[in-house]
Amino acid sequence: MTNWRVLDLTANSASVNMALDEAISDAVKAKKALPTIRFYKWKPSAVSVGYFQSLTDEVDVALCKKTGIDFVRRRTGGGAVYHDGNGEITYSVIAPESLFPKGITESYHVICGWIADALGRIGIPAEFKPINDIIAAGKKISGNAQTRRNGILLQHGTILYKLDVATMFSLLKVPKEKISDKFIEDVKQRVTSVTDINPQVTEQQLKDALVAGFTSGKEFEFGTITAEEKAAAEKLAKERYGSDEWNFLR
Amino acid sequence: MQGVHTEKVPGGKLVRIKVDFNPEDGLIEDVQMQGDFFIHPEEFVESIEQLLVNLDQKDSEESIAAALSRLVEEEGAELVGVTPEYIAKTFKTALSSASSAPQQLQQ
Repeated sequence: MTNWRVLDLTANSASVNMALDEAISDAVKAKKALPTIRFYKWKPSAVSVGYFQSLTDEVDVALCKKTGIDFVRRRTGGGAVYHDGNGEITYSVIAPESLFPKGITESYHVICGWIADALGRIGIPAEFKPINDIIAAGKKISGNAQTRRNGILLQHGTILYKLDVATMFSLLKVPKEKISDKFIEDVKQRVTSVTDINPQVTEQQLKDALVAGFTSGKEFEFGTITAEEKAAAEKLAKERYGSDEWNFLR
Repeated sequence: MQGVHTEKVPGGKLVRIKVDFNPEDGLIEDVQMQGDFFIHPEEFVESIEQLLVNLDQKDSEESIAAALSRLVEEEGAELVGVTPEYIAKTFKTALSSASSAPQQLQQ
């Protein structure tokens, strides 16, 4: 049975978060690290956009800079996400492709199943909705994105803990005239969070449920980021994910 | 001239294509394909953009879609949330908005 490494919740800047996912992928590829499940938050709050998106088209970059919100382009596809520092838990799963089904949707199904398992543990029935969402009470509660490189699968995603639609759409570029009370109500009809469904759940309880859901049936140990991964991540954070060249490429 | 068009793929994602078109020589200078779709491997988007830059702009939507399908197959790439048909449709609409700009009509 595969042994997994679990990296417990840490909070990092946007560029460091994306750099860590890549540095860990490289370490897993080189067999210097076990397949890894990582939980993290964003400090400061941040906006990330998909690999194929234009940061300037999707995000009010000037407002981000003014209000101290980080921004980063991911190496996974998918859409623009507001990562509220206290409003979500992000995860990444980094492992050889061979541990997962070959089909993209099928492999989303496996990992999103772990999230649904976790949410079930805190009384929130949830299910995977292709292409890359998880829904609870008929609304989106989690978004996910996957890439595969050099035989390594990286999937990361967010589980919404507390929703701040007004801040989210002040940073994401929606035509300003659309951000009316009605627009915010419309979004609330489509997106939900753990505390919208069950206000009693603490962030710690959500995190514990995620650890349990992700590790269920697996051999695992809580580990730490190695010095080599940390050094590689710092380099990537500086040279790639913190650079305008990468972030504003598209 | 730049033409931009965005389509929502039914059951899929948004795809936006920006076309830079030179009305003087009638050549497509640059194509950018953006959106919240997935392409595996990600760099394959550059092959798609290259194909669109180089094709004959009189090519029909159907023949562009067929060329894109062949390229996807040859390279073993995978598109998720977007299809060759919608890329072709979005591209043709973006191109026509770029090439039907006023100065082009006067010629």
